[in-house]
Amino acid sequence: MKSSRQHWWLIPLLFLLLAGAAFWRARVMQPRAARPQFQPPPEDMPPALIFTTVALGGFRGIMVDLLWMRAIHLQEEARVLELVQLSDWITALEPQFTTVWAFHAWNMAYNISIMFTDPEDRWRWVRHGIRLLRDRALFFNPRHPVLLRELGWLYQHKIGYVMDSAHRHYKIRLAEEMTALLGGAHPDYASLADSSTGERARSVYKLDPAGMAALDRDYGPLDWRLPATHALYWSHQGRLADTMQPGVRACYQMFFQCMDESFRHGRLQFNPAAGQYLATPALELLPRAIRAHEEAIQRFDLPVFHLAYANFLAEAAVVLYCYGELPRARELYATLIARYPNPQGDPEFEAFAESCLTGDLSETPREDAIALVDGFLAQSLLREARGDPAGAAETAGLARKIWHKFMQSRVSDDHRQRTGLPPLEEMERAARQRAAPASPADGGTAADGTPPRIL
Amino acid sequence: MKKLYANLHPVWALALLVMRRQWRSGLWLLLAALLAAGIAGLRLAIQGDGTLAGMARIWLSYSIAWTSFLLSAATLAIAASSISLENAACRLQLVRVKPVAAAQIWIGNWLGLMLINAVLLGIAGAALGAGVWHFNRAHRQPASELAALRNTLLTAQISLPAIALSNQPASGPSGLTVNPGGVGRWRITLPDTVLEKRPGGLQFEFITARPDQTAAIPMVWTAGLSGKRRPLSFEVSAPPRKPSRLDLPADFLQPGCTIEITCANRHPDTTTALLFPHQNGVTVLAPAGGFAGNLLRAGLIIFARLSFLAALGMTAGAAFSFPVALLLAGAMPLLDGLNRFRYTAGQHWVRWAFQDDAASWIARTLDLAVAAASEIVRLLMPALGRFNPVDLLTGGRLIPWAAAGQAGIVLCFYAALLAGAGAWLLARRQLGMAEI
Repeated sequence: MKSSRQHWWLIPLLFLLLAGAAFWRARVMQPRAARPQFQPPPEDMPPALIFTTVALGGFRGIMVDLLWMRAIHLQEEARVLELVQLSDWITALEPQFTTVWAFHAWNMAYNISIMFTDPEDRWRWVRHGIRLLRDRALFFNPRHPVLLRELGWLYQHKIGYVMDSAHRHYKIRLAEEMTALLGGAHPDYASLADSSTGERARSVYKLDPAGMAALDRDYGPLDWRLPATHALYWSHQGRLADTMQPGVRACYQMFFQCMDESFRHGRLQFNPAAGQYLATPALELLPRAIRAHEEAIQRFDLPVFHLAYANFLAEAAVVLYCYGELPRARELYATLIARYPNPQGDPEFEAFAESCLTGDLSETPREDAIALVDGFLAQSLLREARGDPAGAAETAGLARKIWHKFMQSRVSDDHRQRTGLPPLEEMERAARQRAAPASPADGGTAADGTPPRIL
Repeated sequence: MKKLYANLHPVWALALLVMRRQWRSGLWLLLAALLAAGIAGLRLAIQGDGTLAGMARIWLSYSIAWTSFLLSAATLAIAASSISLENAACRLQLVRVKPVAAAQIWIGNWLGLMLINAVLLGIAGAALGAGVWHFNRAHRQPASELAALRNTLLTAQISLPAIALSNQPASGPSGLTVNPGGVGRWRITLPDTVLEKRPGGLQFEFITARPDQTAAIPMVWTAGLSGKRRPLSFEVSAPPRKPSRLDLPADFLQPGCTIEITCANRHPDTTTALLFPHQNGVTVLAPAGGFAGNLLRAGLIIFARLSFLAALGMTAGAAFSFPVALLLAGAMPLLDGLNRFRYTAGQHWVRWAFQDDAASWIARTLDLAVAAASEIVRLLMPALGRFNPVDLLTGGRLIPWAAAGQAGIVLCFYAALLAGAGAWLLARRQLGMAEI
């Protein structure tokens, strides 16, 4: 047997190979760092994660595969309790693989949540999805537009849209959380950054007070209890990235969609004790929404962006018409036909608006229907205040007609529950609350800082 | 009797010798410390689903998996080394020159190892029980969370399939079809073993005619005791191809009662019919036991698995020297586990790796070789995956005594076969020569 002293040369060889590997690593990393998609790992990664990824070495892939297999197996059998843990491990082993983060967040928020019948259980899984992206994915991949867009999507679509039968519960829970955090719709931005509220917003919700203030200044006033505002915040973060990065275009698209949504739904009357959650149009946001469209078109001159802009202009003109703001509505319509003329000829504005209101409402989105009903109710109150009872009755009748027509187009209980309008009495009461000077006796949160006004 | 005692005396003596040796080596302490550290560490490391019951179930699941893995690995390693290393160190000769049969040596070593396992498993079981007790005493948790824990984990439920009523025209051999706007009916009579005043559940799973249908279907379920009271009603939306559960209150289920169940399909699309399979379409989850009994039976199943692994390691150790014995003993359960995927792979084990040349003779030969090896492993091994109590225990399902008994009988039968083979090999094994 050879003596171990005869293998002394292995030690310098080992050091030589290590030095070669270190030199080679620097050469590999250099071109990677020059690529715009490359995000260096954060400096303050948890030691346990660094240890795991280094210690597993090449076995990391096998471990990830095994975890994936278990996750899929459990989900197929609807045994989903473990999936938060498994998602955490899988993403921790592949922290810079953005598709994996996006998949797991989406899976929890969409696929798993609907396995539960209790809305609170569903909300818990939607929150798991949000937390995975917000608290973990964006920690490992800061300001990554794809992840920011995915996070915004959970707010915009999962919470904000009506696909899930528990969407109202999600909206109420988000509004409750934000009310508890910010004390209402609009925080005091001047003192927010240095307050404990700002610190909590930063640490728990990852909302930067300075970023919130800037967004509100440029595109507000925004109500932070609404899901669209959160989608705006996260997609705006994505818009700040380099245009060439994947996901930036989608962030621009999401941003103008959410500005449209804020225009349609940006004013919230929320009173959890009375079960009131009614979001109606915030007409003052119209110029900001138009600006968001213009910015997107300026950055990405895409046909689909032009089409979205044209649709929004038409929709906004009809909403303004319902609220009795005829000069602004006509002006908007004129902008529409000047910029996007119909080759077959455009009708007069009144004819266009009438056709929109008298047509089939079954395909009309719920948000638009709320805007139409609320607009006519507001107009009715305005006419009443001006001493025109006949005009008031006429417009109130129109509101009721649209409400009934829309509700009749809901084909089932579930459809009605998901996409139906709030009770007409509630909408009338809410319109009166807004019209009257706000008082605590109203019970609602109409006192959101805006001066008393008709509309 | 005297003869039996005379035969057993050396077996016990050897078993105690094995235990004493492991105690002196500090292995007991090391394993006990690793078990305790793993169980306690998992409590701190894992994330739940946001509920107390979910956290407790995940912790319990991972803790049992950790206990099972650690004891299995240690059992295989100790068993594979006990005879082979004794032989290599020439200690076995000291025993073989005494009037002790090879079978007695084999059984004595195996028994000693299993006594160690029994003690360690007892420690782990006590730690798990204490952990669950701690969850149950979480005073800061809301009452609803504690109730959910007691109803899901601390109550062992049996799953009873409801019978689709035969007078339904849409009831076919594959299941009961419920058309949009229609109503499906089922009936079930609970056994007398069901516990009173404990909550239960109604679980259902269905498919639709459209494979792309993933959205939740609106439906109304009712469950009532026949002719006694107003039925319970549940208006829910549930996705296809996933089991969904409705909670039945504590005062609803009674031993021997008959439950009438209906489901109204409220989907607006007239083409979306729901098909509830006969086997697991609609099942009633009825309380039939507690957590302590379930944990005990789970422990017995794990103990039966360990007894088989100990026998496997001992027999490998009787046939081969240490590293080879350990590799063989470790490879067999691994291959047994991989065998579960043999049908998933379509029995084309190797061919996929050849891509463009999948029909080559090398690919086909390798496929045949791997398939043959897989078949051999299937015949030699008792499919250990069948005897896994974790899912039942953490899912709050009753582990019947029959399941524990079946695991004991099957695995002890395999262990007895291995014992025979091990004793035969040991009797014929050339003992190692001491190096001078």
